[in-house]
Amino acid sequence: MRVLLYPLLVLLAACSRPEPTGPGIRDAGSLFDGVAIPTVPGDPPADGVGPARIVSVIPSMTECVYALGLGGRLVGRDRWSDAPAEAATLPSVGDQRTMSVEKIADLRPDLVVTWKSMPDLSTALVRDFGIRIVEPETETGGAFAGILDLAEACAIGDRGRKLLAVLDDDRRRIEAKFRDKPKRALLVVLDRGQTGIFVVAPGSFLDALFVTSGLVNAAPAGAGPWASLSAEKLAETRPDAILDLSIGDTQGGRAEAEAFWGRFPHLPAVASGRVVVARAPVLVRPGPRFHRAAEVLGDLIHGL
Amino acid sequence: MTEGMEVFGLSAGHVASNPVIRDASAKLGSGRLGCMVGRNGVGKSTLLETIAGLRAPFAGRVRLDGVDPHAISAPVRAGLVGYLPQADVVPRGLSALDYVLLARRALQGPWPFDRDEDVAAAHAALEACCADPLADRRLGAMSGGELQRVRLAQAMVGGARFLLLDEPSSHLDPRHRIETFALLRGLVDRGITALVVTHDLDLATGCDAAWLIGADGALTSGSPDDVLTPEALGAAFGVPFQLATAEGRKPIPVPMGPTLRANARRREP
Amino acid sequence: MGSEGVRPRDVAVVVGAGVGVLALAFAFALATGPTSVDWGRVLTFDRTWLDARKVWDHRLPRAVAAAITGAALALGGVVFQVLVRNPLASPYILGISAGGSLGAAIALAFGAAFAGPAAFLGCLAAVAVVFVAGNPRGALKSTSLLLAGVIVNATLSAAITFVNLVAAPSDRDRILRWLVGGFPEAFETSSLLSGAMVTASLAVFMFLRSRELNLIAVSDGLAARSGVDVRRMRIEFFLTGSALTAAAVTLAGPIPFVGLVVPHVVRLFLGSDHRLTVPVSVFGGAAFVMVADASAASIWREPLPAGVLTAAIGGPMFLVMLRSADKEKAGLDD
Repeated sequence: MRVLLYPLLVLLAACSRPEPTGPGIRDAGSLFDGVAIPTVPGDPPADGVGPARIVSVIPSMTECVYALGLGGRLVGRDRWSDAPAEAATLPSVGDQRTMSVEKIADLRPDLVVTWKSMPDLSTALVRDFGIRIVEPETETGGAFAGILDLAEACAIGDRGRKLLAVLDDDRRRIEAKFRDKPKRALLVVLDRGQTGIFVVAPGSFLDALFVTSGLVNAAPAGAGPWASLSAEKLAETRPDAILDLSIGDTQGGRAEAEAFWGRFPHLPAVASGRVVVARAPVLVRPGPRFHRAAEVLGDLIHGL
Repeated sequence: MTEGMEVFGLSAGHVASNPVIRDASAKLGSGRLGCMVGRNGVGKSTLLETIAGLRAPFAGRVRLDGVDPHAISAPVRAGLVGYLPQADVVPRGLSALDYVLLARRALQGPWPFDRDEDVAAAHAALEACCADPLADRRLGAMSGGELQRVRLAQAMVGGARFLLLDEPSSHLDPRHRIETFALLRGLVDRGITALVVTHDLDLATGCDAAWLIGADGALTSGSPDDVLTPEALGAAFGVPFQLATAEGRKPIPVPMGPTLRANARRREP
Repeated sequence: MGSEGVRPRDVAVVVGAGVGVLALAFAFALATGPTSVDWGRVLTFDRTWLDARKVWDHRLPRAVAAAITGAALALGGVVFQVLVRNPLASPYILGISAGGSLGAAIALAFGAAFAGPAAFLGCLAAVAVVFVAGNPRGALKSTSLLLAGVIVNATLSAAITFVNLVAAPSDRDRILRWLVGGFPEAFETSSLLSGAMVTASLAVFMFLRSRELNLIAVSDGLAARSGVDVRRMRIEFFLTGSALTAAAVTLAGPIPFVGLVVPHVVRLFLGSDHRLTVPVSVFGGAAFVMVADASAASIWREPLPAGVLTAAIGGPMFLVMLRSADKEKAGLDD
């Protein structure tokens, strides 16, 4: 019997959980909440111009409505439209899973800003209720083209173009700011699942996130805007820093993230304490705050 | 047109190269009660199914009142010959009447309703089988004997002139076996031609005709006195037979195996 | 029934009751939704009132879709329970809905907006596989079908899990939503019309076949002896059940429990004669899904998919009925 005792002890020792080593991960806190929505200079549109009551179920488009100066006309939003702060006080019509046409119709909108990818909702709004809709381009290639779609649907195409110019100026300014900084490799984690982690991959509007902030995307190319990395692949990417956006709204998120990343102590980013958790949907939202959020990101990562 | 049941040169079974029944020929007169006797597995059920038109023969022919049951459609066949298999699933929740009515399908038209004549025929069939009081009782609440009478009624309710029964009383007690045969005799007296597979040799000797399938698969037929002799039965079953006499009836062939006492004696050290 | 067989008047009685239940359920479905309506305005039928549009342009087509789906699933359940001679069978037991789910999952994972057509193709593929695999020597026997169904279900479930795991997070949400089973917000009149016609004609067809259903439900042997072309009937039943299931799954995803519970509840009250259970299951299924969908849309602060409520109602209701009812009558006694 004693012959078995020693291997058993070795086995028990090997099974014990590794203590978290290194400086631990950082919490970005409310760093990204403070990103303001840029606005178009000049007077807001006159009362008779454009729709009087707007419902937007696309978070980035909700921000655009405010950027275009039409925030006062917004009467409803989807669950995830949380910026600016006033938008969060408006009635919510649910999210993509639970949206109800009746709830939207009850708000009596003149215009509903809705997804291209929910054709039954759009058909119901237009055909059954006679409500005007606009389905702005939100897909990766033409994210900012959606702003023009929205502006034109509101009869303020000029303001739309001005807003695009403002955003472009933003981008150029921020890009110049980070041009001379060392190009650190950043891995942006969107979700942690059972087969691996989902990260932002090259080849979508999110490339601008890295370009603007003077960083490099550490992720390999994936089949679309996301890539799935197994633990082994993760070890291969060797990013200088990791931004973990997967913690969601729960309080225990940070402790759970610590436990997760503690399993990869050999990653340089983990070992040198360059893992940041953040609640920052703004970073993956193709809205008007995108470039300014990239600026905050750049300050954060370059400052690690 | 010849009346009655006839098979001629019949070969049937599972595989054509090795048929269970070979070159079988026999007759059963119209309005007669015939029994089929033979050891287990020799092909009685196969032969019965072939006569009923449910299994295609490899060679030879079957004629029921001159009609080939394999050459007619299933609904017409259902009105010609009724078949009662040995064991079958019984829907315990159904009443006897509803169960018997199921078999009226072949005579009903395209509308799926039971007509007055269907209900009348079902009651008549149940009556002929002494089971009419059971009409509203559930099959699950019946004894073995009662259930068998209801099944018999079902086999007849389509108006079949020919009845083929595969061991209808093997699982019944002696009294119910006798009642079953009495019932069959009553049906035959009213014009039905019935062929029954049975192991009840005492009751078989009371039939009008006997078909014996020997150990080699050969079929001999004739009157029970001629066919069910102790020699023939002994060859067919591989067990010696003797005729036993009982008061007031014909001698009965009885298998002569060692008695229990003889067995016990042999085991004593 | 009783000691007179099943007569036209018996069927007329149950059909009348079924229509009544259907009408009540329909009224409930029109009256119930995520928002409240002013019935004064609704009953003017004046489309300029928002509430009138809500009820007549939005809730009405949805109630019709729910009725079609419920009727198709319940009737599919009846047919499949006969085909495999097992009262615990459902239309999904042969893997048809799993095929539809896989088709839908693949389409959604590739970012498609509509899962319906892909679901339909998936159903067809699954039907073809089960038919070939479950049909050795052309017999389409119960055990072969069940076995083929189990294998197809297991294989396709694994495939669906795989698609779910590798799909992008946003698509994963949509896939899971589809798998629960529920209705979209808008319907094409043409698909409702064709769905209604297909379901109604198959219902009539199965009613005309109820005696064959009765016979084959007991045994193939009894059916053959009673003059039924068993092989052809079994193929007819298989194709009918598959068509009904595919139509329902294409319209609303795999709504659970309808095909299993509705025929059972009907049998617990009326026995197993299909001349009664076919029409009553059709009406009962339609009513059940209409009520479940309308309740699901209104019972929580956000509209829920119909599948959540069919499971929530169907499961416990079935358990209660099972404990208190006459099992022999429903064929559940072994």
